[in-house]
Amino acid sequence: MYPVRSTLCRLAVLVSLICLNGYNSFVQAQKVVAPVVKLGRANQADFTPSPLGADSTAEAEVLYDFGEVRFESGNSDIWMEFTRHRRIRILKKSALERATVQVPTYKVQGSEREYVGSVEGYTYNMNGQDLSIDKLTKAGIVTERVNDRLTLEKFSLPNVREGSVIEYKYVVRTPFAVSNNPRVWLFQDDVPVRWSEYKITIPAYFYYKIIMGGYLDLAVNQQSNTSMDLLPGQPGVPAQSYRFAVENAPAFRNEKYITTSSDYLSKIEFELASITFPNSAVRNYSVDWPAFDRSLLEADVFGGQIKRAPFLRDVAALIRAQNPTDSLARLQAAYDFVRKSIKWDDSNSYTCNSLKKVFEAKKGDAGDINLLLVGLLKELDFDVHPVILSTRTHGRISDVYPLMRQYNYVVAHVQTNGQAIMLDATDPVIRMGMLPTRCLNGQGRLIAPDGQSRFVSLAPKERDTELLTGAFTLADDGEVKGTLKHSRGGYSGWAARTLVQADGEAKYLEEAKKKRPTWQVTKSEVNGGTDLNTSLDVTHTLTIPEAYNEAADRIYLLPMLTEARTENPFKEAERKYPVDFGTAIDESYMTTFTLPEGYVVEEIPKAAALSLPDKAGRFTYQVGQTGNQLQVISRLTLRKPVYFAEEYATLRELFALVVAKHAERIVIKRGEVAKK
Amino acid sequence: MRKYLLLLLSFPALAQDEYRAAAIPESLRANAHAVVRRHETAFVVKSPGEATQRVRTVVTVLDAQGDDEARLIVGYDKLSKINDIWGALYDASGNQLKKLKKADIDDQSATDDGSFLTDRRLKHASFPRQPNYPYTVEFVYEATERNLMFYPTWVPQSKENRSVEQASLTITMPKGQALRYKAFNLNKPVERQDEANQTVYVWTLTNQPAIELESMAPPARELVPILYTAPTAFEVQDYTGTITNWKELGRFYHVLNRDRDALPAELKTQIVQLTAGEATAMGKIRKVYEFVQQNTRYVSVQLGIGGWQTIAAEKVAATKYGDCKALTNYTKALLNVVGIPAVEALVRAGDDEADILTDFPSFQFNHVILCVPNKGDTLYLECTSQTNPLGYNGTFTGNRHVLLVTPDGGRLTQTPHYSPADNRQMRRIDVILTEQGDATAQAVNRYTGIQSETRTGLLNNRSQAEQRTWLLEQVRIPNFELKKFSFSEQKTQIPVVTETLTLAVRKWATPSGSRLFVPLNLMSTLGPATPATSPRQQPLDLDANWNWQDTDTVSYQLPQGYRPEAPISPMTLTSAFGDYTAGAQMVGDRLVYTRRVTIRRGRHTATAYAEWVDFRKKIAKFDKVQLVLVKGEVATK
Repeated sequence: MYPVRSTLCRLAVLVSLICLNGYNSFVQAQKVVAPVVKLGRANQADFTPSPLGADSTAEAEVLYDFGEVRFESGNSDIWMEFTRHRRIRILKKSALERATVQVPTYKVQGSEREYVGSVEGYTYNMNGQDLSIDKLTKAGIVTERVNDRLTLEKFSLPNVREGSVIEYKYVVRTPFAVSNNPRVWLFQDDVPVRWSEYKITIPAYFYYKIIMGGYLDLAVNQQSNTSMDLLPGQPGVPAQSYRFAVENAPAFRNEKYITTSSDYLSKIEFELASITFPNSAVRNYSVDWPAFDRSLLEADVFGGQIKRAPFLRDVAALIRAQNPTDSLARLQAAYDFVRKSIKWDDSNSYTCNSLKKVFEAKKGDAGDINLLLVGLLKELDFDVHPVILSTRTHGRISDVYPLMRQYNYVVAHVQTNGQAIMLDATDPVIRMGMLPTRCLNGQGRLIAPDGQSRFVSLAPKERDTELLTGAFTLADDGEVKGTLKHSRGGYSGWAARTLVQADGEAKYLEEAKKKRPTWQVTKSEVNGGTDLNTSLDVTHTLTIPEAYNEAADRIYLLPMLTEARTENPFKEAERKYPVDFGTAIDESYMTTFTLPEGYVVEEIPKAAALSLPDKAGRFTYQVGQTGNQLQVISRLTLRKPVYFAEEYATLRELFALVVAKHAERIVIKRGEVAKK
Repeated sequence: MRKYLLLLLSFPALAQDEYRAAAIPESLRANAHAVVRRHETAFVVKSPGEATQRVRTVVTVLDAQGDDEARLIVGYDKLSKINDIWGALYDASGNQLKKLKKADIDDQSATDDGSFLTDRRLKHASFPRQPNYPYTVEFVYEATERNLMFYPTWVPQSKENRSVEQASLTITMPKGQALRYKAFNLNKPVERQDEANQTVYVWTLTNQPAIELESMAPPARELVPILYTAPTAFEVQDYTGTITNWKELGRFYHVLNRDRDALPAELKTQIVQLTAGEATAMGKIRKVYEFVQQNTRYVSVQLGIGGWQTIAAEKVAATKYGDCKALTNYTKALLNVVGIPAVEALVRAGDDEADILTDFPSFQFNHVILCVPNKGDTLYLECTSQTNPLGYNGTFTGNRHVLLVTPDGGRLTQTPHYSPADNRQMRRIDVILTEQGDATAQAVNRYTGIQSETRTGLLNNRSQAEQRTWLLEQVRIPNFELKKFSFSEQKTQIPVVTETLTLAVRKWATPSGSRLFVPLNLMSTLGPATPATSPRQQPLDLDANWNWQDTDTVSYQLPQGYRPEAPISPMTLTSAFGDYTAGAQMVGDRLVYTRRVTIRRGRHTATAYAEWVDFRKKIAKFDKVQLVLVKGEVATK
C-alpha cells in the first residue's frame, strides 16, 4: 500500500515556485489560538471589530470560514463530503447580498449528481444589549435547475441588516464520478477574513498532491496519523489528517499588469495522483514527469494524433515541391497553409479527437489546429514536438508537480537550422516565431518520446515596439504642420495587424484619429500591412493646432505634441505582486521642428537619462538645436516582461520621470521679421 | 386574407433566394455584419387569455461580428410554452448543410437577471461557429402565450450593423377584440382585412439598410422601424383587465396587488411608537423610510402573474426581504399605519432607459416606487435602496413619467426633473507652488444631485482602501501622492457629497530655465467630443444626464519672486448647448483661476453636431491653458 505522502508548497513572492517541505520546515511564528465557533451561537466578540485591525471600513468581514472534507463509501462509488461553515459580519448595506448564498452542484452523464444537504442558517442582531436570532426557514431555501449539468442550491437568510452577523453551514456530497478532487479552498476573499481553516482526512487508498498558492503565511499547518473505516468489509485503513489555517487575511484586490487573480490568491488545491484499493492494482492518474509525459504521448487525443497524418501527404508533397531547398521557407509555407485553411474557434485546448476531421471541417480549437500543424511538419520531416502550456488567464503552471489540468493550450516547437522556433497557427497575422500574448506565461512542457520531454521558456524574443518619427515646421502663423509616422513592430505590430484584419484599414485609421481629436489630418497612409515580418507603419500628414501656447511674442511649444505620456500607470506607492507586462517594451519618439526665420529659441528642456538597476530598463530624453532646427528624442525601454515587487519603486520612478519630462516645453521668441 | 397568408408560407420557387447570399442587394451589405433576409411574425389571438406566436427568421451572416445571429434565444415561464423550435444552416449558395437537432437546444433557467427565485427559463438554440462567410441560418419557433398583458413589440432590426431585406408582422384578432398599436419609422401603413370572425393586420418592411449609432444619438427606438402592440381586453390566470387608457391599466395593477398589506400587530405598534415623537407628516415619512432602509433588503423574487403580483407585506415583515413590488407594498402598508396615504408608482427605471410612450397605455414598466402625495409636497420613495436619500430619484427614476396606481385607477404624472443647478460640481483648490514646480494642494469638492451619485455609491459601499484606489484613478494629475482624503454626505432631497483631498504633486508646474509653466486647471479638464468621421446623420441628444454645472476656483500661492510673464485673457463661450467662462487674475499675491461650465439637456439637429464638437474643442483647449511665470520680471500688461 502506498504511504500517504504529501508535500506542501508555497508560492513565494517571486515568480518561480519555491517548495518547502511543509511539516519539517514550517516554523510557527507565534502561538495561534483557533476560535471556537458553535453553529447557532454568536457571541459579543462577533459584533466588535477585529482586535488585530483588519480594515474596519470594508463592507463585510468574514469572521470564520471553515471547511472540512471526509471520504465515505456509497453504493457504487466513493463520495467526498464537504462541510462548509461561515460566519460573516455585515458592515455596510452593500454587503447585504452576501446573505443570499448560491451553492453550485454538478452532474456528469451517467453518474449520480452532487447534492447539498443539512443547510442551516442564522442571523444575529444586537438590539441594544439584547441579541436576537432569526433562523433560516424552509421557505428561504430554493433549488434552481439551471440546466442538465448544473443545479444551484440557493438560500437567503432572514432579517439581515447593516450590523447583522450571519452564519450558515451546509454539506456538499460529491461522488468520485463527478469529481475526485476536493474543491479548491480559498483562504482569501474580497473582504478581510479573520480566520479561515481547512481540514481534510485522506485515507491511504488515495494519494493526493496538495498544492498551495498565494502570498500569505499559514497560522496552522498540522499533520497527524490516524485511521478510518472506509470500505465495507475491510479493516480500518491508515489515514492522514491535515489542518491548515490562515489568520487575518486581508481583502484580496486586483492590480494592473497581472496574469490572473487566481495566481495571487492564497489557496489550497488537490490533485489525485493514484488510488490503491486492497487486492487490486494501483490506478495511476499522474505521478511523476515521465509518467505525465508518457500518458500524453500514449493518449489517443494527443500522441495518437501526431504519430502519422497520411491524409496530409499530398499537402506536404506540394509544399516540398514549391520549397525544395530552403527549410525555413518550407516551414513558413506549412505554417501559413494551416492557419489559412483552418479557422480557430476561439477556444483553448491541447487535445484533438481527429486531425483528419479538423482538416475536413476547416475549423477547430487550439489543440486541433496546432496538433494538425505538428502532424504536417512531421510529414515534412521537421524536428517538431508539441509544447503544452497554460494561457495567462488560465494561471501559472507548477514545474514541480505534473498536473494535467494546469494546462489548456498547445503550440508547436520546431528545431531547424540550429534555432528553436515556436508556432501557434490559431493566429492568422502573427509573425512566424512569435507566440500570441495569451501564451506568454512562464514556461511550457515540450512533449517528446524517449525521455526527451522538458520545460521550455515561453519568454518572447520580440518586444512591443512603437516608434514615432515626425518632421514638423512651425509656420509664421503659428501652425505646427508636418508628418508623423507611427511604426508598430513586434507585439505592438501584431496588435495593430489584428485590428486591421478584423475591421479593415479604413476603420483602423478612423479609430486612430478618434484617439487624437485635435489632429487635422489631410492624409494617412498605411505601409507594411501585408508583410508580417516588417513593422506596420502609418504616416499621417497633419496639422496640430494644440501643440503650443502663446503669450505676447513668445511661443511655448510642447515638443512631444499629442504623444506625451501624461499619466503614471503606477499610482500606488507600494505593490505586493510582480508587474507582468507580458513582453519587453520599447517606445521611441524622434521629431524635428523647423522654425521660421528670425525665431529665437530661448529655452529648451534639459536632457535626462535614468536606468533601472541591472539595465532592466532605461529612459532617455533630449532636445537639441542646430540652426533653425530642433530635434527631440525620447526613448523608453523596458527590457523585462516581468518586474518583481522589489523593483516596483524604481519602475514607478522611471515612469514619473517620463511623465515629468514629457510635460516640458520649448520657449521660442518671435523674431523681428515674424512680428510684423 | 387567408390567401395572403398562404402566399407567404408556401412559395417554394422563391424560397431559394432567401438563403442565397449572392441575392442580397448591395445597399443591404453596406455597414452590415448580418442581413436579416426574412423576419416573419404571426401573432394569433385566440381569446382574451390565449394567443399563439410563430416567428420565422432567416439571417445571412456576413462576417465574424455577425455570428451572434446564428442562434435563437426564446424565453418562457409558467404562463407560456414553446411548442416547437426548428432550424437549419445553409452555405453561401443556399444549400442546406445541417438541420437543428434536439441536442443543439439548451434549456436554462434565466438566472442572469440576478433573481433569487424566478420561473423564467430560456431555450437557447445555436449552430457551431462556421469557418466561412457568408452563411445563412433559419429558425422557426412556435409558442403559446397565456399572459396577454403583453402583446409583441416588433423590432426586425434589433441591432446596429444589421440590415433587413423583408420583414412582416401579422396579427390576427378574433371578432370583438380590438388591437391597439403604435408605429415608429415605418413608411408603409398597415394592411387591414376584416373577415367574418376575425381581423387581420399586416405590417411589412423591405430593404432597410443597416444603421450605425453615432455618438450621443437619440435612443435606438427613435431611429429604427418599430411597432408596439397592446390588447384592449385580456385575461391572465384569474384576472381580467381592460386597457384603453392609463386609468384602466392602473386599476388592473391595483386589483392584482390589493389586500396584500396586512401587517403583524406587533410591528404596527412598533411603527406607531417609532413615529410618535414626530409632529409633522414629513418627519413621520422620514422615520418610516429609514426604518425600511435599516431593516430590509432587496432580493429578487420574480413569481406570480409573470412577476407583476407582490408577495404580501406580512411575509416581508417576517423575512425582511423582497423585490421592488414587495418592498414598496410593505412601505406603503407601514405608512398607512401612521395615517399617511401612499400609492405605487410604476416606472421605467434605469439611467439609459428612454421614457415611456405616454400616448400608448401599456405595460411599459420595469420597476415600482412609492408615491407619497404629502399634501402637494410629493415624494417618490425608492424602497429597494438602503442608502438613497429620502425623495431623491436621480438618474434611476428621476426626469420621467410614472403611473400612479390609485384605487380609482391609474394617473400619469412625472418624477422630479433635475436642472443644472441641482447637478453641480463645485471645486475649491488651494495650491502652494514651489520654485521646482512641485505643489501641495488642498481640494474641497462638492457634488450635488446626479453628480453626487458615483461618490454616494463609493462612500456607502466601498472600504477606505477601495475609495483610495478609486481616487488614485480618478484624479487626473500626472504624478501625485494622495496624502489624505475624506468623504461626507448630506442626505438632503438634492444630495450633497463633500470630498476633501490633500495632495502632494510632483511637477504640477514644469520649470524650464527661469520660467515656470503652470497648467491652471489640472483637475477639471473636460476632454473634446468624439469628432464625426463621416457626415453626421442622426440628431444630437443631450439627455437628462447632460444637465449639469461645474465650477472651479483654484488659488495659487506662487513661489517667491515669480510673476506671470503675460496676462491670460479670459474666455467666454456661449452656445445652444451651454456656456463656459474661465479666467485667471492676481488677487493680492495669489493667482486665482476660476472656471464655470454649464451644459443643458436638449435635442439638436445632426448639423448642430459640428458646433457641439467645436464648442467642446474650444473648452478642451482653454481647459489646458498654461500660465508662464517668470522670476523677477514684471508682467507685461
